[in-house]
Amino acid sequence: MLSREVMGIFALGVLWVTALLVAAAAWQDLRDVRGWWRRARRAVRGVVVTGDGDDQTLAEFRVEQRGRATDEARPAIAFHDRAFHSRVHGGTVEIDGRARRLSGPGEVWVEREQRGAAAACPGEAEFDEAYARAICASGFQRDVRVAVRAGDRVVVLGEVEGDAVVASEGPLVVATFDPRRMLSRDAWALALFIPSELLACACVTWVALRPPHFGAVSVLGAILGLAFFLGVTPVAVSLREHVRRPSEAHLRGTWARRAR
Amino acid sequence: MTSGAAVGAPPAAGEPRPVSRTRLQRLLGVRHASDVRQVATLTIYFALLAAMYVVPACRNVPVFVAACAYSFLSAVVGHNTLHQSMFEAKWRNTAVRYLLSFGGLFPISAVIPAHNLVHHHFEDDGQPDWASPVHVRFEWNLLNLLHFPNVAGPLTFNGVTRWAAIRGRRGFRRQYTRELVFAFGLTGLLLLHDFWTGLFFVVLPQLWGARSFLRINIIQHDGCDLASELDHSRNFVGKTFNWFMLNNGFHTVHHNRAGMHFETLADLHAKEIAPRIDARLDEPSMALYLARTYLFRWSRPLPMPSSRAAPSATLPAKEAWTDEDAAAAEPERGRALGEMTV
Repeated sequence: MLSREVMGIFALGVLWVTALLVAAAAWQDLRDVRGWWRRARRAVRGVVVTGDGDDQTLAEFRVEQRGRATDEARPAIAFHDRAFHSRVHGGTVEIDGRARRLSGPGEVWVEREQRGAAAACPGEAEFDEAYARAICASGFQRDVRVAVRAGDRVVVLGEVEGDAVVASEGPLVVATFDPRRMLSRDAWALALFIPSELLACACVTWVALRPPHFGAVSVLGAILGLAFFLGVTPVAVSLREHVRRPSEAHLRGTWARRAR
Repeated sequence: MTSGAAVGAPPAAGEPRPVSRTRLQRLLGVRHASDVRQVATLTIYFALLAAMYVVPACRNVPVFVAACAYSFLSAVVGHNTLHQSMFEAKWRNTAVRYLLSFGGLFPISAVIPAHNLVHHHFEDDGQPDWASPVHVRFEWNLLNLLHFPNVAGPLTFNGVTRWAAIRGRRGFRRQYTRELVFAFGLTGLLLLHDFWTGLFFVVLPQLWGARSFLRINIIQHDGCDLASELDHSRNFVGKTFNWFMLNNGFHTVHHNRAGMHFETLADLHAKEIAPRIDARLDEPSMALYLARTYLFRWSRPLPMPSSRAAPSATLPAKEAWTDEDAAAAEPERGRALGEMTV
C-alpha cells in the first residue's frame, strides 16, 4: 500500500531532484559567463583603421532569418533565426596609439540595440514587399547584417603580440561594445537565480510539510509545489536563452504594418 | 494481437482496403488490426488511473509503476496516432486526442510541430531540434538523462507557440487550446474532488509519461550522426519490448518513412535498415543500453563522426493537422500518403 506519507516524500524527492538539476545547469551557464567576463577584463580597446572586407569592413555579423505572416488582426511578419554568422575579414586596429594587425577567424559581438536597429523595418513599401512573400509557404528570407568598419570603436577579446592581436584562451572576439557590463549583468542574473530557485523550493517544501500533514496548508504547499515544478523549467530555459553569447543570441523580432 | 497478413497489412497507395477484418477491429472502428493493441494500451492506462483513484487497495507499488509505464506507452500511442490516425471515424480520433491530452497533461497536438515537423528533420529551419540531445551538457551522463525533459519541454512549448502564431494555423490553435483546457480541466476536477489521491495517483503518472516521452529523444539520438542517411537513430530491436512499444524501437525506419504504420516497421527494419546501419545502433535491449550508458559509466560517450550527408527524413507532402484539415482531406488519398488525419 502506498500511503500518503510515502507518496508525499516521493513527490518532494522528485521536486528537489528537479530543482537541483535546474540549479546545476544554471551553474554551468554561470561558469561559462564568468569565463567570458574574465577574458573581457583583459580585452584591448581600439579604433578600426582599415578593413580587408568590402567598404573597409573589418568584421561582420549576419543573421539569416525567415519571416512568416502571422494571424494578427494587423498585418505582421514574425521572424525566425535560421543561422548566425560571424566573420572577421581582418584589418588594422589602432591600439594604444599603434596600428596592429587583426585577422580571423573569430566571433563578432554586436550590441542588442544595434542588432535590433539593423533588423527594423525600413518603411511601408519594404513591409508590403516583404509581406507579399511572407504569406507564401517559403516565407520572406533576409539577412540582417551589422558591419564593423574603419572608424568604429571596437573591444577585442584577444592578446597583443607585437604588431598583431591574436586569440588567447579562446576564440578571438571583436565586439562593438564593452561586453563587461553585459556579462556582469548575466552573471548576476544567474547567480541570483540559483539560490532564489532553491529557496523557492525550500519554501514550498516548508509549506507542504506544515502540520497537520495533508491539511489545508499542506494542500496549498502541494499546489505551490506543482506550480513550481511546472514553472521553474520554463523560467530557467528563458534565462539560459537570455545569456546566450551575442554571436548566437536570438534576434527574432516582428514587423507590423503601421496603422493608417 | 495482429491477425493474418491480409488483415494486418496496411493498404498500399492506390490499393483498395482489404475486405477481411477482425471482429474486434470492426467493433472498435480502427483502421488496422494491430491498432487494437493501441486501444488496449490506452484502455489499460486509464483503467489503472481509475483503479488507483477509486479503489484504495489499488494504490500500491505494482499498480503505480504499471500506471507510470502505461502513461509513457499512451504517449507513444499519441505519437503514432499523430503520424497516422487510428480510427476510421473522425469523432473517435478527436475523442482519443482529448484522452491522450489528459493522459499526458499536455495538448497532444503539440506533437505535430514538435515531433512531426521539427524532430523528424532534426532541426527547426536551421536551428537545433527542440528535443535535440545538444541541449544538455553535464559531464556525468546520468544527469543528462534526468535533466533532458527540463530543457526539451520548455523549448518545445516555446517553439510550438511561435509555430502556431503563423498565419493559417488558427485551426491548430483552436484544437491545441481545447485539448489544453480538457487536459487541465479534467485533472483539476479530479484534484478538486480528492486532492491527494489525484495528485499522487493521477498527476504523477501523467507527468512521468510526458517526461519519458521527451526523454526518449536523448536515448534514441544521443551520439548518433544526424547527418547520416541511416545512422541518425538508435534502434532497440527486442521483440517483447517492441510489442509493448508498438514497434517504436525501430526508430531509423520510422524517421525515414514517417507515414508508415507501426506494424510494418519491424519488417522494414530487417529488410532495409539492419543490413546497412552501423551495428552499434542496433541495440538488443533498451534496459542494457540504459544501464551501460547512464549507470555504469560516468562520462557521455563520444558522438559518432558525421558523415556530412544530407538527412533523408521524408514526410508526407501534406498532413492534416486539424479537424478542419481532416475534413477537407480526401480520405483514400490521405491513407495512401500516410497522413495524420486527426
